[in-house]
Amino acid sequence: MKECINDQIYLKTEENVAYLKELLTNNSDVVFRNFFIGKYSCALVYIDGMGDKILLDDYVLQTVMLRGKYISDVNQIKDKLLTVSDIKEVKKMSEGIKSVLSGDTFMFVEGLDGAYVIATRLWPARGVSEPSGETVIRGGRDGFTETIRFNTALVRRRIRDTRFKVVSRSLGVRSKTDVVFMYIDDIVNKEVLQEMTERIDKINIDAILDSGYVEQLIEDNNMSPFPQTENTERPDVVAAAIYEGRIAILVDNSPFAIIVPATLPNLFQSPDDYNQRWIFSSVVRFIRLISIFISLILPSLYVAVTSFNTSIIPTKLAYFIAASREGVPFPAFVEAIIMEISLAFLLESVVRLPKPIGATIGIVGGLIIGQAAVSAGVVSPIMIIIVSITAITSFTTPNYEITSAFRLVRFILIILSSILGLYGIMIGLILLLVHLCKLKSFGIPYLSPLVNPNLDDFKDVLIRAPLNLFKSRPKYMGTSDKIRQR
Amino acid sequence: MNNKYAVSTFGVFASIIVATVGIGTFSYPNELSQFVGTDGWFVIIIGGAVSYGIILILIKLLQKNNWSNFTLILKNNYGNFVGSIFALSFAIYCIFSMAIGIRTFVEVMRMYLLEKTPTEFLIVITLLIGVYIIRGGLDTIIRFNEIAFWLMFIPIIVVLFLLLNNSDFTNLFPIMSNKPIEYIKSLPVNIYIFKGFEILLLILPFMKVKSRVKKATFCSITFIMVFYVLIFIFTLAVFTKYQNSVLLWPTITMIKSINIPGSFIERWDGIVMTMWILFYFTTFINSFYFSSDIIKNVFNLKETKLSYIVILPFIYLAALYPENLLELNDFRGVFFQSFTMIMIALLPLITLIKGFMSKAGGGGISNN
Repeated sequence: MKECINDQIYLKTEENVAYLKELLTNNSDVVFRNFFIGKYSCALVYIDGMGDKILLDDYVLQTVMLRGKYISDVNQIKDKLLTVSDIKEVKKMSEGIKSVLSGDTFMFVEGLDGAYVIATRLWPARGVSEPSGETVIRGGRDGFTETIRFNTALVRRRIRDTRFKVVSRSLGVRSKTDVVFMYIDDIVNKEVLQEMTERIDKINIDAILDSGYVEQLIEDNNMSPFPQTENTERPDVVAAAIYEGRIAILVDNSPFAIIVPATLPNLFQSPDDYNQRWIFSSVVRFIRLISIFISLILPSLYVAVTSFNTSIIPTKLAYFIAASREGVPFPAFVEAIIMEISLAFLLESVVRLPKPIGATIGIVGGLIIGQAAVSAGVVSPIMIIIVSITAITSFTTPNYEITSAFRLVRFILIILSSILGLYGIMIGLILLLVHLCKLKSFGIPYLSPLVNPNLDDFKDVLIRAPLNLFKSRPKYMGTSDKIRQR
Repeated sequence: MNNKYAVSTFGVFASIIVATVGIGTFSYPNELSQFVGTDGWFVIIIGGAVSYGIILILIKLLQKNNWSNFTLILKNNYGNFVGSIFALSFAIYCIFSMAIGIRTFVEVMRMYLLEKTPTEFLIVITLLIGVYIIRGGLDTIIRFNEIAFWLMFIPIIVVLFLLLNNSDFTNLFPIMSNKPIEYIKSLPVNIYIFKGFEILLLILPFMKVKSRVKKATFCSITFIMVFYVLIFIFTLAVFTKYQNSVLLWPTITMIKSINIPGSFIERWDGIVMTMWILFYFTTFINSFYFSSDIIKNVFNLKETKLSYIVILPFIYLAALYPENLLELNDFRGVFFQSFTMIMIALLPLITLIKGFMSKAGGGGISNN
């Protein structure tokens, strides 16, 4: 059904109120308040629960009722009477209605050409709290909340620059969700900015409920398991990205910001890397690299080594593995798939369950079933060790989405290794590499700076060089302002 | 060039190296030792110098023709029909070299990693992966080359260090003890290990900074030369020239001989063979894309998608043509070597000369 909104605001308050009452019929939470300022008939319209009642009572109604009689002209009301700071005049009914639905208050004054919108947005909101998904050892403890204004404020507290821009859009035909993108005007890559703006403006959907919607609608390749944007709950991560010439997108009602463009090495970085001493950070980066590699190939390597290429491991170990697999009725491939799938079940159920029960499930699933499976002879103890190591190593990455992507790849590698052994694993890795080479995020190759390399960019990929060497911004981002430190 | 993609200098450097260093690495120390014993490194250096000479010809040819693509150059110089035939024969050369490569690769694979898997199956799998890679287009291939460069050569350096343990460098002597005619006789081996750099006909037109063309190609040829010399010296140091000339794949056997007491992995060849799959794939996909590109331009197709489907069965059939390894070695004997020389050296040279003669100082050929 097409929404029919009258654009015209009538001179008479009663007509406006009658129109709104008809438009917003069957809405118990809309409040209409009629009153007089001197001789002018006025009305306030707001939504109960989203408007700041104390502000309306103390600084609008109280002043206008007590001092309304001193007003001689209708145009003086705003300038001499209303003691609120954020007030604007609108000429169109539709504009005002949108503001009302966002929590502002509509004020009609008889004889006025237009109406006032008083910013009274106030609703029960979660305070700033520590982001649960991205904990750090050293770094800010504040995370984004569901309210977009708090979030922009959190970022702006870290960037006090006149060239910092906060551009806003309204997305969703029905939800009219506020979407904001932030960048620094003289650092950002203009082509990326234009590309992103075009893609955002192309979105035509009824509702945007979370930043995940926006993310999926503007992504380059949605057939890939790899996320081509970075999402974060941390304002310091957003600020750091903006300083590197990237663009952050905030969506109302979502505590997750999207950062574009994202490259694969970006997704392996954590604020801890920069806040701690560089030697330790470099070691941590290295550990992450090894662990993602182990988590990727360990189960498939087990399958390949036990089924095809037994000769590459020492004879003693080969015998040991064979002995521990004695009595296991399944081939190594089936064994690996069973255990990987049970791990996937376990992870999923722990995420869905309430926290106190989640721990129980972890113990039941991990310890009891694992132990029972081994003593029943369904899987070999080696397999349990491999699956546990895989699970632990896969979560050293700061980004959850990339972990899930690698989990999918792991399954494919297990299947390939069961067909072609070590060659299969290598084929799988080559295909993975090629897929990553094909990906782009807003025109920036996904594997930058590993492809199209620049020696300068390697200070922040495999190692994290000392901070005084960070003289320039990442070259692969194509930033306008290239110097970061002099 | 409707494609806006520009190849960086490093992209050119890495692409030439990974397209050249391929399956020949496994066998050339054997062939060189058969001819010149301990002096193979000298022949490799001569080969490198000759290759750089050919590269200069190719660069000159491209420069003269306004960095246009190779098929177009041929068509413009010889007319549409003859030019197409030359371009097609170049594509056929690519197909043959790919077929020989794929067969050798699969045979090596079957010997060390997958004893029981049928050859046909491995060839089909390898071809299909090649298709997946080249579907991404030139920019994907260049990016793949850039990354593969690191993944290929960093492990090799590690392996060479591990080899220091059981190598004896006095095996390198005597130096320069052969008759000059022996060096000349052994030069054809170089053709097999240095071919592959013709990929620059494909990528140079897309290069971003054209002024660095010579520097980039010189660096890559030097790198390849040093790499081959190192491998040759190490095989000599580990095996001596006598054993070197009887082993079928000295490089692999050399790696197999690594034995670190107390290490977890007993047979390094399995691991290294796995890493070296990349060596093969990079040469394969580069010529695969190049030949598809030629076919596309010859028949004025819009996409390379159709052309690689046309090429696939030919590679498959040519790869299965030799019955066994011996026949395969015959297959890439004198005939193929001369074919290679004609295609990558003689054809560009004649085209270049013809270009000079037909229009002395005339304007370059327009870019379409």
